[in-house]
Amino acid sequence: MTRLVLSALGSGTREGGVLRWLLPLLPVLVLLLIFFLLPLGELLRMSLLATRPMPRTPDPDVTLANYVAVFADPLHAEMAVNSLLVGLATVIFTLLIAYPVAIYLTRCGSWERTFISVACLLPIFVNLIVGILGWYILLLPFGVLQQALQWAGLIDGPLRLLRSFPALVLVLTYEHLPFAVLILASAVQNVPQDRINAARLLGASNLRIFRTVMLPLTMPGIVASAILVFSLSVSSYLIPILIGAQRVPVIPMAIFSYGTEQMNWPMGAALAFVLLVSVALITYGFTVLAGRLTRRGQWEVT
Amino acid sequence: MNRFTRLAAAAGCVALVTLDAGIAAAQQACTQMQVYLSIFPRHREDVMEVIAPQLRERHNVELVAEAIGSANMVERIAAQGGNARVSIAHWDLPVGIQACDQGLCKPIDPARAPNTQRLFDWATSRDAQSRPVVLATNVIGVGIIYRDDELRRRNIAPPTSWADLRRPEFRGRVAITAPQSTWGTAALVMLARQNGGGEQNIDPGFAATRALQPSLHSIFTWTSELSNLWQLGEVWVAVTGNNMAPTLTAAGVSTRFAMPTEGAPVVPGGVSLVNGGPCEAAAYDYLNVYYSDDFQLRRMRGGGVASPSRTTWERVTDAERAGVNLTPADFDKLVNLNWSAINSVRPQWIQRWQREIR
Repeated sequence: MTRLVLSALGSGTREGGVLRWLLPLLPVLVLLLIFFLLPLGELLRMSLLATRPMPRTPDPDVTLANYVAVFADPLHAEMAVNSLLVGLATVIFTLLIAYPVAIYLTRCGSWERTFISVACLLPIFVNLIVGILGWYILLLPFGVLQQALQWAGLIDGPLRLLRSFPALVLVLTYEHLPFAVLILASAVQNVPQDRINAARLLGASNLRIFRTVMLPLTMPGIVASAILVFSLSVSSYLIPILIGAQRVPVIPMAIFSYGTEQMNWPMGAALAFVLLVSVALITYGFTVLAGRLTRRGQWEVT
Repeated sequence: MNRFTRLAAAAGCVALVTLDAGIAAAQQACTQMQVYLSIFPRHREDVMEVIAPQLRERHNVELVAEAIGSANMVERIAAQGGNARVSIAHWDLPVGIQACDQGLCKPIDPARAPNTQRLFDWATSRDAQSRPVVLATNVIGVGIIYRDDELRRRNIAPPTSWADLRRPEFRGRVAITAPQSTWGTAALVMLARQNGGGEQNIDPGFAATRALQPSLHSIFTWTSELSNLWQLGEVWVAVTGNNMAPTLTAAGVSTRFAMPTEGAPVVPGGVSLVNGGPCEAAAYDYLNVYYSDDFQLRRMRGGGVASPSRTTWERVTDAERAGVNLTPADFDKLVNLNWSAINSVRPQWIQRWQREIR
């Protein structure tokens, strides 16, 4: 067998070319198969089983009832809308903050760059739970922030900051900002300075340079950041359950509830599969749209 | 793949197969007995320090104890099908009753573990044929805990009734447990019972919760969240298990448990023999030692849990009674709920809660 593979690799045949291309990918493909595709297949299989009172009851019926229930339930629709809005709002706020930071990062001095980089990376180094609990304590009805506002006479009685949509978007933005800054800084760094100089010499304003030079040339970074932040935000469980809780219900909370609290694994699997496919479609749609907006994916200024 | 890698892979496979066969053979010959324990302070330590050596001496059985959540136990035991490897499961009583209804337990013969006959009557749950299937391992009443120091400082009378949760002086300082937790389910049924409903008619419970919402600071599922809010001074009054009062007091916050005048639902931990599990003789001996007065006293002193054994309480000092905060004098105020009826509709209640209580 080994001899066969080696001879195929050595020959200049089409099979040999495919094998030479496949061999280095083999470890990754095997890992993907074992740890992603097989569990995904199991998830799909489980989502097609009838709901039974006990997990893994033998010989359950195959049915689409779980998917019908997923789409028929108004709560799931509300959760899907919440997830989508939370994801989009987080992407918008993350990009609005990360883009200027990325531009400044590529133009400032070395000590400033170090300082900003460390500040941006800090949320990654801090344990996720610790970071969320920090926000949680800050936003509590009788917490530090509200006490300070009350002391300053700006509010009369506690506001509902925790368990609100803005608070959830705020914390998700804080947690995912470092990823966007890192990706965008790399994209901005790769914009050729001579293009910007040329535009300036031709009399373009800063706004026009940004719109016609910077934006198209950094679009791959923007798209990559947006996809990453959107996927992380939509599939996040810990931050929504601690910050938004029952007032901002999102899909991952329902998946967890079906799996562990209601012992209804098939419904949880169906919901998880719907979320996975939705995120994949939205991500693909976003990539296609971004490609069209930036001259059919040429990513170049003509 | 070179020769060394091939040899290593083959050795690994052989080792895995041998290990698995070894475990299976050990269980078949009953030289090893697996027990699932509930996650509770000092539970595993007490079992391994006291019961394991006795089983080793009398039965030549090595005890393997693992502390995991109740739902996880059910999932694992169900997955083992008719070839159960676990002999004993310590699960939440309601979860245990549901698992036994599904045929995961074998009936317990009290004559083979005489110490189990010392339990209070309510501590034994039976199947449809009136055979004991789940025995309570502790006594936990779901009632109201309150911040003793804060209430004293503000000259506020402590709560004494479920209706007190709506008192205006507690507005914004009350936390309740969601029905996703067993304690929350028990509290919801209790609120329903106070308002003309019960296990068969939960509507009044939901109505009472909605009426309570303006007073609520938080709805929590995990006691860790309550613990945070409690220690930060955000919440003064909470619906939870009585054992949280000594736990929070030990954390430095003066906390007391109030047994509501209308009664508190009892939600104990439970223990069952797993259907088809090996080592039956050793498993009965385990139960017998577990319910011995010495072991129960150790659990009360070290773990702060009230014992469901009648004779154990005769050996408890007054100081120890005060530390436990739920004594046999309170047991007649504990309300036994119909968990079989609750379990059949609990998922619907959770779904309804997610839709209605925000």
